[in-house]
Amino acid sequence: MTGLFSISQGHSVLPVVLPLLAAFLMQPLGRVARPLALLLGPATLALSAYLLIRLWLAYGDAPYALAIGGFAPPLGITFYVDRLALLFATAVPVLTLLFWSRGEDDADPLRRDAVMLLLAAAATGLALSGDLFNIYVFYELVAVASFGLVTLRATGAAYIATVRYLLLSALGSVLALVGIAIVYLQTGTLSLAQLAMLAPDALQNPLGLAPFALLLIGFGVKAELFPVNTWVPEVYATAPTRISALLAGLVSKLAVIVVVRLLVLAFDGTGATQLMLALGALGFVTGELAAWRARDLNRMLAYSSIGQLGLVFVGFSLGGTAGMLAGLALVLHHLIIKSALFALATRWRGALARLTGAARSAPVSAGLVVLFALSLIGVPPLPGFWAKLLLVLGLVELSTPLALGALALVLLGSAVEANYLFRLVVRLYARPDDASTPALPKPKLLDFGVASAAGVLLLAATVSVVPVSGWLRGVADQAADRAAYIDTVFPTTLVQSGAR
Amino acid sequence: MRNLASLVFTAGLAFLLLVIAAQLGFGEPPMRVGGAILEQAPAEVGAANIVTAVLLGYRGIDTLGELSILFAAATATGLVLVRGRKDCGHGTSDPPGGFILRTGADLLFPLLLVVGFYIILHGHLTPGGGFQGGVILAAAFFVLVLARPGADGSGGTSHTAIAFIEGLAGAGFIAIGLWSLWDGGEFLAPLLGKGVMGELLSAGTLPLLSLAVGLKVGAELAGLMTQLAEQPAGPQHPHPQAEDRGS
Amino acid sequence: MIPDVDLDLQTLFALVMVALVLVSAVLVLILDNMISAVAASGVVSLGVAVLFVLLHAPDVAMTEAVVGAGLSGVVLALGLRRLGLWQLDATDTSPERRGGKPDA
Repeated sequence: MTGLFSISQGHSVLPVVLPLLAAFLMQPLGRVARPLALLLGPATLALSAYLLIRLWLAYGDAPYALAIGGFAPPLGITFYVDRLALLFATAVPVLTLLFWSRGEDDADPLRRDAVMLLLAAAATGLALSGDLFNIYVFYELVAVASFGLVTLRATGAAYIATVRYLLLSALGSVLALVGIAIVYLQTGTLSLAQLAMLAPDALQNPLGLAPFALLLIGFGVKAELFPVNTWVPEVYATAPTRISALLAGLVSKLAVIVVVRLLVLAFDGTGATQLMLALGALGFVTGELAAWRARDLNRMLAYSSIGQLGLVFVGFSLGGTAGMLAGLALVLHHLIIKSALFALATRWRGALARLTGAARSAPVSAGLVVLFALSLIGVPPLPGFWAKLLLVLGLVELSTPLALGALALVLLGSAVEANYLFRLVVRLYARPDDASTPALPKPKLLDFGVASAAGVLLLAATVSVVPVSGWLRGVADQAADRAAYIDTVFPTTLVQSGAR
Repeated sequence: MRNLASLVFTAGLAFLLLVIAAQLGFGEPPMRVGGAILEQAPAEVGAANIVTAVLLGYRGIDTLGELSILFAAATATGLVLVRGRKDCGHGTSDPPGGFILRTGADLLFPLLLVVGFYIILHGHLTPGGGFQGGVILAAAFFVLVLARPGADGSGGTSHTAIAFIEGLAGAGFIAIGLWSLWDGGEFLAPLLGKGVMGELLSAGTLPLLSLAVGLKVGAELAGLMTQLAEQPAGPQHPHPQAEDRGS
Repeated sequence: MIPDVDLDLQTLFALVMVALVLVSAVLVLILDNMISAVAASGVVSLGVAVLFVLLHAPDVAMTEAVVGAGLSGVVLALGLRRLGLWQLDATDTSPERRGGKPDA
């Protein structure tokens, strides 16, 4: 009997389960005590975040595996908890709480809260799960929940964008499922740890590249990967801005993390990394070019998000700890900055032309935009510079023709990115051509708070770049260590032989 | 042009999948996990139906995830339907079902209910389980709605009752899981002893989990179908198409 | 082309089912009338369910029959009705008829 206030490794499942419980109870509670039901969501997420931080403090040093239901892997489902998993699992409730939709004018706030909780639970599950099919289940849950959330504004355009998103997402899911089926047919297991053991024999051949390509495209739909990201701009432009912030800032990153886990554990070959490198570089340059042409703030942020995620894929494709470090730095950097920019955009959505002279009515917000833009471009000494530097150095070190081609695309994309971000900054500080233009509303206090906190975090990281990079290297080391993953899930060789 | 492009895409995808399928060794699956489960499941879970042992035992959290997917889909549909697009209503209320339909529905309803509950409660013994039985339960209620749509097309179904059954059944599934967590085991570990394999009361908490799944799925789908069948709220427009063209 | 195996009754039955499934799947694509297309998709699921029974997977067969042939058809049909696309006469595609408004 474990006490209510003591924490054990078995509690790692609670951040996934408690939001589900709250979502199920939302309707019954809402019919008994509506105000209580409206508080249920934030309270549950706060509890999840608290539990994860306790877990982090208690067990954050060494990775551990959790056999759900007490069924030993590979028969049962395992959760694998290392620093990478804890980092993103903690980011889920925190960011969901920060971007909690409080639009009281929504037709049905209880249903909206329930779907938000489902999204949070599934996203946490994506970070923690160590079973291929379990990941697929959580990925589907993320997808279905996000379909509901992006229609919240209930305009015709939002519905059209959602249907397009739904179709693409369904295609991606089918491809991912086919990929999983092929993996299962070739290896006879779904446990990532056992896959990692079997991969050198079973998956590192051309026939093993096929399921990776299918899984990459499938999970790439949420990760805004190059050919399957056409849903992004319309959805982000028509969905509530807080939901866009959550999808761009958080959900896309978790899909990336899933792909990275698969790459590290099961598909660590040149073919897979080359595929990721090529698609990532193409995504970066197309995203940035599209953002350059965008005339509307939400669309610009959406295209820029496509570009940044392309960069992230390039980073992770470098392989090894160096690639993991570059990718992680880019992921965290983008997570913080894109969330903050979308938070500022909650009141500034619409045509870019409306932003002319916004710095006069909202000087601090404009200042934050400048800071984020500089870091995105990669101006030293901001963290974005170090992240991009790691990436460029890694590409130079590889110096295969493909890597050098990708390097050229990355540099080209960065130049384009610098151009449109400077254009945005100049517009913010320009004198309005028409004095009668109404001043833009300031962001709401909470959104402004989110953006300022992100700004402070960014500056703190700039000052303490050495400890931050050291800590990040620790996370990357742990995440790139395939042998440790296998040893943690299968502690003795006895279990391995028994499982075979 | 668009049709041509999608045709080329589909053909390419089909070709790719066929090439992959041609290289896979069909007929000799590596029964690594499957074989081990077949050996160990009777002792570890105690269910005569191995499929249910996998669904509710070994991969219980997957089932919870799938329940949540269904719940998310139903809730998201509700989010869209509650606002709806009032200009698309079909305008006429449904006529009541005829004598034959009503009598048939009255005869079918108890039968479907019994079949549904049988499938749910025997999930650990015979093929079937919560999902299949739950859908049959939902069908039973929908047959009633079809026969007597009533003024608003809901057939007098109580949304409150449905919401309570659905929510509490889902919470029950998780509560059983948390019970074993608080009991010192892992989330969703089997409890209550395995009993004699093949008896109705065996396999520990599996029948309870199956009942929770069945009730939740049944209530959810019944709610979804009645909601879809209901007339859209608000005034009925005499000529919905005219407004469509205007927008 | 046809492999030289003696077709026992079960294989023959499975082949008939595969043909039924394929024909219905193509019908889903080419039928103009949406309700007929929904019905055809139900036939696809029913055929697949029978195939699952032949492959000794009664659990999957049950799910496929209940969800594919029953539930999804009902949900699709109700959705079509809600959209005003519930009509038995597909040849008349004028916007008035597409709106699903009865003439009366």
